[in-house]
Amino acid sequence: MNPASMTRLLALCTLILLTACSKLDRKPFDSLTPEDFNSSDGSLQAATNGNYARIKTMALGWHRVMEFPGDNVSLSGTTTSHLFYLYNYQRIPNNSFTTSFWTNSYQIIVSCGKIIQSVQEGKSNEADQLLGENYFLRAYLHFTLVNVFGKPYSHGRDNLGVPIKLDGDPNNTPARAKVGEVYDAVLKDLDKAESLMNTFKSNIYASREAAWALKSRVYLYMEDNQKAIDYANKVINSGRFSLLPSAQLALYPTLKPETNKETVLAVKFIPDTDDPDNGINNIGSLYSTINGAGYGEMYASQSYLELVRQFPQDQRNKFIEPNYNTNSTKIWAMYVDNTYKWVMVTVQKVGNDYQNISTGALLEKQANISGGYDYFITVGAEKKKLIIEPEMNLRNGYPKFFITKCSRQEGKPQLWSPIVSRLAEMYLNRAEAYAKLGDVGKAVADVNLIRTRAGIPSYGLYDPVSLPSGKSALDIVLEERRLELAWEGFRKFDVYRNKKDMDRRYPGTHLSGNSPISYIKSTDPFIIELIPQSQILAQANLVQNP
Amino acid sequence: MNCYLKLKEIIGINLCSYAKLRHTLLIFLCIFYAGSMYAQNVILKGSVQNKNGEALSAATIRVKGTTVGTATSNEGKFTLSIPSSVKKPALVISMVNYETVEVSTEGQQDIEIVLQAAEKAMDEVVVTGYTNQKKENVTGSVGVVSSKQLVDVNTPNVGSLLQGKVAGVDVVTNSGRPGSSSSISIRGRSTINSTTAPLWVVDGTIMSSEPALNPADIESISVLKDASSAALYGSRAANGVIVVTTKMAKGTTDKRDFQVSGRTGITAYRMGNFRLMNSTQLYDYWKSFANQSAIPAYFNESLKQRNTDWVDIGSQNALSKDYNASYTGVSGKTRLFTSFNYRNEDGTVKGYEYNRLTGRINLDYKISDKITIKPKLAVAFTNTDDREHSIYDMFRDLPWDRPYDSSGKVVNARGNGVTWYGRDLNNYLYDLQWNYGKGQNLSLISNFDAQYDISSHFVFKSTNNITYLSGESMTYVDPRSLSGQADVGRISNTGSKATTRFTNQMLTYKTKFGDHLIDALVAYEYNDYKNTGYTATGKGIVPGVTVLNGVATPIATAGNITEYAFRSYLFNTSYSYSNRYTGQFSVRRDGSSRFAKQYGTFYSAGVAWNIHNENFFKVPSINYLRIRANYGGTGNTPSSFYGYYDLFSVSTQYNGSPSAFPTVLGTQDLSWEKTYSADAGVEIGLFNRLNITVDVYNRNTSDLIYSVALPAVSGYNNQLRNIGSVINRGIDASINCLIIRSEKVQWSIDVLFGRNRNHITELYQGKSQLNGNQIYKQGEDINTWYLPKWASVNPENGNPQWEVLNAANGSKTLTGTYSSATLQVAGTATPDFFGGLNTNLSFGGFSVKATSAFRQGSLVYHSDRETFDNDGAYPTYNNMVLRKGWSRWTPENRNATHPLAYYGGNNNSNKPSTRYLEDGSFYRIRNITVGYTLPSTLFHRWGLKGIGTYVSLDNLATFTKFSGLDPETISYPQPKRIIFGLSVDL
Repeated sequence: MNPASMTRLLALCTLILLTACSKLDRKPFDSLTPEDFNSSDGSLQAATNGNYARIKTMALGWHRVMEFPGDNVSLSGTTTSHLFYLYNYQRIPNNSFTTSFWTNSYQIIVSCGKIIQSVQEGKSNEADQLLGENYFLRAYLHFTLVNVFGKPYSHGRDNLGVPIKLDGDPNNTPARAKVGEVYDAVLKDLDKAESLMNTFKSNIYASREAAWALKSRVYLYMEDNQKAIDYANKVINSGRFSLLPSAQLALYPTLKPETNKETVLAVKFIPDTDDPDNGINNIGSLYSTINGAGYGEMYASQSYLELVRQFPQDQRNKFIEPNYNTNSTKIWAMYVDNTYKWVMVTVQKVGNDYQNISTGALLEKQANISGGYDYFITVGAEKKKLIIEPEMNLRNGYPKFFITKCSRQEGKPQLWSPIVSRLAEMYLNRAEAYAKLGDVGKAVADVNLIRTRAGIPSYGLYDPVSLPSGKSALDIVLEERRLELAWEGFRKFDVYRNKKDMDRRYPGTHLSGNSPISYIKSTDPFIIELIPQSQILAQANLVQNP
Repeated sequence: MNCYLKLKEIIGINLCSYAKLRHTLLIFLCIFYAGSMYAQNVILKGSVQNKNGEALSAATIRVKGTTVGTATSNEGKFTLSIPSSVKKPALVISMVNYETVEVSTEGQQDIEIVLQAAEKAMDEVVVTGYTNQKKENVTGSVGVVSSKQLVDVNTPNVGSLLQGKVAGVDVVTNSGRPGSSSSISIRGRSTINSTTAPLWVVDGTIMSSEPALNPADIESISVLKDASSAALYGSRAANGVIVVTTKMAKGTTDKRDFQVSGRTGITAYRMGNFRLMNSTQLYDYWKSFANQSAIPAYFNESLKQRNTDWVDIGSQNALSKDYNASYTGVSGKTRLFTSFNYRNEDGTVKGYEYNRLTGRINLDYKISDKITIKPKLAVAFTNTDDREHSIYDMFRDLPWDRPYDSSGKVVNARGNGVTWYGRDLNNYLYDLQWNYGKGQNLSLISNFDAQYDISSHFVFKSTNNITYLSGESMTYVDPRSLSGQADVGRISNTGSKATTRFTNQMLTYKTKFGDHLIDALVAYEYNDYKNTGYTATGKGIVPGVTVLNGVATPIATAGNITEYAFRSYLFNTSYSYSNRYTGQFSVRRDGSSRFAKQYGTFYSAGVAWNIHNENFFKVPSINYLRIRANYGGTGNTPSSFYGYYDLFSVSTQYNGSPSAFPTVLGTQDLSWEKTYSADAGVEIGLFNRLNITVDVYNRNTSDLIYSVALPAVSGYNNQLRNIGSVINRGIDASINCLIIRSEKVQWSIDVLFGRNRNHITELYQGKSQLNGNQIYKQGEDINTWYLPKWASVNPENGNPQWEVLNAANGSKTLTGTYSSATLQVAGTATPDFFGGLNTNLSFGGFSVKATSAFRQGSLVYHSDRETFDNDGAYPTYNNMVLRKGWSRWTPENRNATHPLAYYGGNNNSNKPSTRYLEDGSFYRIRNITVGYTLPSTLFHRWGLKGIGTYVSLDNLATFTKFSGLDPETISYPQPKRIIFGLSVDL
């Protein structure tokens, strides 16, 4: 090639390069702009799905802020995770779980608000249903927020609640409303949700029935007992739901939520996609290790164990799986000493008796109502009830009483679809409301219905005319709520809204360290979480909790 | 070295024409004579003079490759006896202040040698990216590192090699893992959210990230520090520009040089100042817990019998290897540089292996007198094998736990009946028996460049590059491992492909008439980037299956594409008058896909005055003295590619159905961060020995881009906004001193120094922004710590205390409740100053090179102490041994640094506070290399040109008060190395 033609070629190349690649605009591939999104088919459905999906994202925080301050859980070690401060009441303002719960909740609330603002009512049944679902989600999240960050409604309408955010305007940043105002807004949204929703798609989407179920709970928390009963009845009488039979109760968490007739609303997790890394970051992971999957660091509390073990037939025992040392043939009799530590005594079975291997003495026994025996040991002057189990595996000296109520959906170790409402709660809401209205008979009837379903034999049911001594109808209902709704995020609220105390004098690392908190009064300031510090800094009009 | 040869007339054969090509002004004389060989010693006489004909006394003369030598007399004469064994005798003549020359004496008996005064530093050509300028005409601040200066520590990472080499360039190594990168910041930090990394330019091509280059392929690196030098890179130059020029054969005479070298050595794990407790120490620590009753029943003295050293299990002395071969040749129309490098290094934490192959071909081919094509191809292929032991586990695991059972088998800590005291019931060695990860990266940097010398004034340069980066990794989880049990094993593959296209078409103009010198260029540039990534996971495998085809069930897939593009027009001109005054002006118009308003313009202007060239300036001891000043603008783009769009994320699902969620609140008017910087510098050379450069600067950055935290009630976490301004002011200085410069001994010292002060001048609505344990606050440094202030231990009860600040009156009280403590500004992570101290000593065939780096006054948050110095908060983790001067509270020792320990912790004493904020200052002896060049008489009969050997010590010592492993990397410490090397010139 001669230089002249080379020059021409170079010039040509240059020209091509100069004119090629003329556009500078680039758009993302895994996101859509509002124009692209709104013009696409099914955008309303997709946006509503997005809100459910976001609840999955925050499931860990959502579950933990409600459940860990209760008395059904016992943590077996200290941990760097901020779950520790939900559990031991040593609140920190930058808790990652309260922060995740707050921020995700409000983002969903705003997303709901945007949909509500942009979709006209009455265009189609389908659109109205979706609109109703968004009203429902917004109500549910405001309701949960106000209970976590604000004092119970029963402590006063005028306590500080949480911001009520109803629009999609990013520049409107409302301050904390009063607790009563938040409840009013919740009910208003639920009214709207109830009127718009017209189709029961399945129990993994909000429905009119789910709105009723939530209303029953809201009114119960407001102590508007008659309305709590009315809405519970609406759900019960809808005919859509039925309690699982006793024999299937233990399988509750393992069922695919849509196939579970008892669930009114659950947020669905699907296999594989929603339990990556063996579900290590799912709710059940902290409660159990199944096939190597799960941290398995938080166990059933000793006080819950004692309660549920009153009746060996009680199917709810099966949500607790003691982790045995299968290499050992030893039997342990376990009790809790005065410093709230587990003590294990190795025993052997001799007929109906157990013999303390080191002392040779037989354990004291006492016939119980179930036709078996309860066993005791006297330590010092105190007689201690024993839990008898084959030798268990320990973590930091804590026997591993794995909780499996949040695991094993569809056979996957740590897959579970957290439940928003289920039918058993409706009976128990009704029972509590009846008890408060003074209708002991109806209250006890509902409690007995739940107990019967749990598999407790008739001699374990309550008689409305002779309640156990020292116990009121409300006490019985609350105890049953504890038994039935354990690890579903109710216990903390049930205790404090009824102005009861939380007794956490049982083994667990909430008692370790300097100045542990073992007994909490409903008047203590720390029964509610601190507003996340990042929010206080970003939003000047937020006031921190004491 | 530049030289110009002039042949004595009597010989009259051709001069070394290659020397001419080197466009130098220097002259000296040498003699070639094609004579026959002599059987006996040759007596050679000669004289040495300068170009004015003045005799030079005390010049040293040595016969090359021997120890035979002499010096000139007062009359400049010498006599030498050259041994007959020397085949092609040559003399090396050297003298202070003159260029050393090498002269062939084959067949001669009388020789006259003219020495040229040493090259003036000012004649050096500096590569500044789009232009090459004589140092005398540069108006900006450019730090230059030659290949010799660059290579010291044994690392494949070029960025790491810059530590302590350029004034004002702060390099911090990120990790001691083989192959890891460094963070480089040039003249302070002028951004909050966007990248702080400088822009990398290799042979004229802008790179999307730090390129994978073989350090041995690099000819020089220029660091463009200020606006005048960097502004031509416009919207991406605010963090400075690192311009890399790779090697190329020089000259036009045919020649060839083949070099092979190898080095190998041992690397060793270092614990720095960090010490963990042994069994007895831990036992005693537990005994000191105030709440003995809370300790589990298993705690008893027999635990002292069990003393596992986990660090010993997880760390090792590892092997490091590096082999390099390069060929440089000129033949007719072709010039070639090609090289090949293989490198292999094992981590000092066991189980990690790093391998890298790099190859390069740089070719210049002259099609005609006017047209040269310059293709280049550089390939780097890296693969890693990762079965790395966990540093975290090495530290936290208790000495009371035994990883192996009596038969030597690895224990499953969660196994039935296994006693394991560590909290997490995790013997990390268990899964490590089977599980691993592998990664491989391929980097292809290909250039199709051409140059057309249109006329003596105009040159057209075309730079066209495609860079392809692919990364692939896989993880294998065995069904037998705990993490693989539930899924019956798992395989996951991840891959990414990034393609960068770059083209620059540039026309340059150069003219010189009389005393006037004009340079100009105009160019068009386009650059885009596309990254495609995917990941796929499947479960259910037979042990040993390593591909996704072997899985029973696919469980997860993900994939995404990201893109950006830039288009730019640039213009630069400089004018010099009489080598005394230089003025420079540049403008660049940049368009970027990351903004709604895509285009922005960046200017710079600079002047320089070479005082030493003025007629009035006659100070013989000052070789040169120049001052320069410039001002200009550069930019920085947001790290988010799509920050101005409102976006719905579609990457989630509900019940397997697609879903969308609003995740990004766009900012329509988002704009570049703009840095306007002024720089003034003085360069002075004294006594031909001392070169000093001092620069002062003021960099004013406005429109800082920050991901502003929004209240959650807005519906978003944050939004990118231009929120404020920051000023960086500083000084950087380099001093180069030739202390001894004789024929036998040369000794030089380099000192590089940088000091940068920084403060935020403006933030949107005056609002501070929190960033982890740091805060962005008006009036404060951009790296300011924001933590509760630790008020030491309450002498009364041994409990922790923090400060509470009463905002109303500024009074301070103490609290024992962590959540009541006030967050306060608590110093900065910005160093007071930093730099390097390097020295070179050579004598005879020996050379000693030492490089060291220092960084003073930076506060480092030692987060590991939250975990390992926790007063019992994590009792079932091992703990660090208290350092000298630290003590724990007891009733007898009330003024203690450490609170009374409790099983379960003492009132959140280990939560983030200034307690763990430490002085991260260090002085590190990076490298000492002792080399020896063998005399050529030993091996020249084999046809070898040279053999050199050396021993090199990396990270020999680090002087620091920091209580952790390494004040730079914080976690994985940089290893110590001893390396033996050999290089052969063929």
